[in-house]
Amino acid sequence: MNNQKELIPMQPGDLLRVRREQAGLTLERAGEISRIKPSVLAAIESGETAGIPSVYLRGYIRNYARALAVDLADIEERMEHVRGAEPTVQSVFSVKSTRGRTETWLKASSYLAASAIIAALAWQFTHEAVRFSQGDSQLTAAAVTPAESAPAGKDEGVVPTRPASTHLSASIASVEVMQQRGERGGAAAAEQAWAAIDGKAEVTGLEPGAHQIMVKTSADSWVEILDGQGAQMELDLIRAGHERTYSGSGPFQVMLGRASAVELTLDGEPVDLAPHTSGDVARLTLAGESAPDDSVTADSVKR
Amino acid sequence: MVFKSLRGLFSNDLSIDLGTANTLIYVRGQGIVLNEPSVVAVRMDRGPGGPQHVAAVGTAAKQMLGRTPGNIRTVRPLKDGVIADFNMTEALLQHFIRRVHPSRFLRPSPRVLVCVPCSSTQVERKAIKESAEGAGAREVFLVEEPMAAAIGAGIPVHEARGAMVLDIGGGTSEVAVISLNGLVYSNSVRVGGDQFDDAIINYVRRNYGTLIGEATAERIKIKIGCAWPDEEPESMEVSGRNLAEGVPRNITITSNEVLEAMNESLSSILEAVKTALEQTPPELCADVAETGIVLTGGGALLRGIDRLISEETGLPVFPADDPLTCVARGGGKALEMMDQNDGDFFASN
Repeated sequence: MNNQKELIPMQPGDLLRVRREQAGLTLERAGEISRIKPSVLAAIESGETAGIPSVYLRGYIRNYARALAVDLADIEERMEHVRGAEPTVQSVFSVKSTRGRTETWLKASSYLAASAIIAALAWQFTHEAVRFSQGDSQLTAAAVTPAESAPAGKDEGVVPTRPASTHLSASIASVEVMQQRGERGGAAAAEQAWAAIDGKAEVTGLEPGAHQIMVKTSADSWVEILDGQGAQMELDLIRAGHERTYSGSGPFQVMLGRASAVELTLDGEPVDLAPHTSGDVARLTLAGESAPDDSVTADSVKR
Repeated sequence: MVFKSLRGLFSNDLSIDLGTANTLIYVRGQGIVLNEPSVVAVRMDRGPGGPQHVAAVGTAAKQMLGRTPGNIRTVRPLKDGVIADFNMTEALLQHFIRRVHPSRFLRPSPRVLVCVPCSSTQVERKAIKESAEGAGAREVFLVEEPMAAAIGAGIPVHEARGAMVLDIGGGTSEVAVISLNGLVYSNSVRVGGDQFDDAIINYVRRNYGTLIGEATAERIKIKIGCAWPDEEPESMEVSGRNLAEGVPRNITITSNEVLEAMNESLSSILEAVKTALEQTPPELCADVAETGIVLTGGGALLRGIDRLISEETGLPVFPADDPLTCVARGGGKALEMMDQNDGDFFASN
């Protein structure tokens, strides 16, 4: 009997019941002494304590043990076998939604945004360094990025991919030109644009009726070029020392804001600006509409 | 302002039990991270009236209490649960908030929940709120101490069922009846651990003609203090300055003497409990009679206090587990539920 008791650990409830019965007390009398409701005492003795919050349950067991003069240390040892209702904190009324979740989200996204900004800055910095090392002048002709030229080739679905060395402050106007041309000529125009960018464009490679204009500046100059359809090919202030090449079908309406600082060539031949210049502003028409070959072009230049 | 809220994203929410004796800080998701005496030591380099610098805070400052040279002053910035010295409270909070935020990169700007005595006035609450804001808090919420204590003790406060909690703190004792996440009745008496200490000092001076310090009185209270007569009284030897001779003398004090000393303070706490039972609506009073009274706060550790209240009221009375940290833990739980609860527990200010 004694051995059995040692093998099976006694629950506090069992111990208390045994002690109460030894003392010859009823539950009611025990309740009076300990000031705890008899129904609660019955629950403790039977171990059915899941409904009683644990803070109360532990207090009841200690008080009951004290009332029955049970050794408190003995009870404390067995207290871990006692399971009461776990304390919960709940809202009585409305439950407001997700401020906590929003805050976590905000925190995560601000981390992301910060790292994105840092990555972008780092990329830009290294890119700029490469650009400066390659030299600025090579890159001025490249006014179009591959992404920007993509819509140009959309008609045919064939977009040549090239290594892009982009001028970051590329003229938007020239991009528009490329796009307009793309609408008309599809992939061929895109190819042409790429040729212009790469600086490999040759007169022979152009389609019939197309001409190539090159503008080279020794000082900042305003340049405006309209092609045969009246579409804008260039509308920009070209900085000193830059060289830009345009190709399209004539006649071209050319306006140069500072003619003295600009060298203009048509299909590789220099154009004399002096006859068209008044007050350093040159206005001229190049490569008349009915001029498929160079000689007529030269005529129109002379005119 | 924008930066404050941005910094806030990188700060943890805190629940602070700004007690007269001890300050506890609960960090959301981490538990109690700081438990230190609410004491600040101030250094005055150019004599009294000159500029003051905080020399030490918390445990380090408490060790200096009563043992300082002329240029250092130890301050307990809180008295009776409310702010007695605004600037020092701000310094104390600032120090503690920094300490629980290890990051030096961003100045912390947490949302802070502070526990206040339920009988504190609007002015006192505003002072606590402002000093927490001054210490760097982004937003300050106040919760009444008995409410936090009940949550921390594990009482199911959301039930439509009365529960009584008695929180005996350092400067105040608060008694409250709680139901449906709210205080039905609450009262606070300015009697707590400090008054027990004072009572012991006065008793020893009167009966032994010997002056003892606050720290000694506290030691006596913790070691042999009791609220219900012991069958086998314990005794303790302490030394103090004999008033007649002016020299240190050893005296031996017993636990029943300590009980006699604290009798008056204990009866005012009892009075508060009885008044609370009288004032509680009958339905809730019946609930309390069934469930009993839960004791929290440092005073719950006083031997026999549950017995005393139980004998006087006829109700089951028992201390909560780990009563010293109940308020801070309860504040922490309220903080964790804050976003869902829409501030059910928060006190108006």
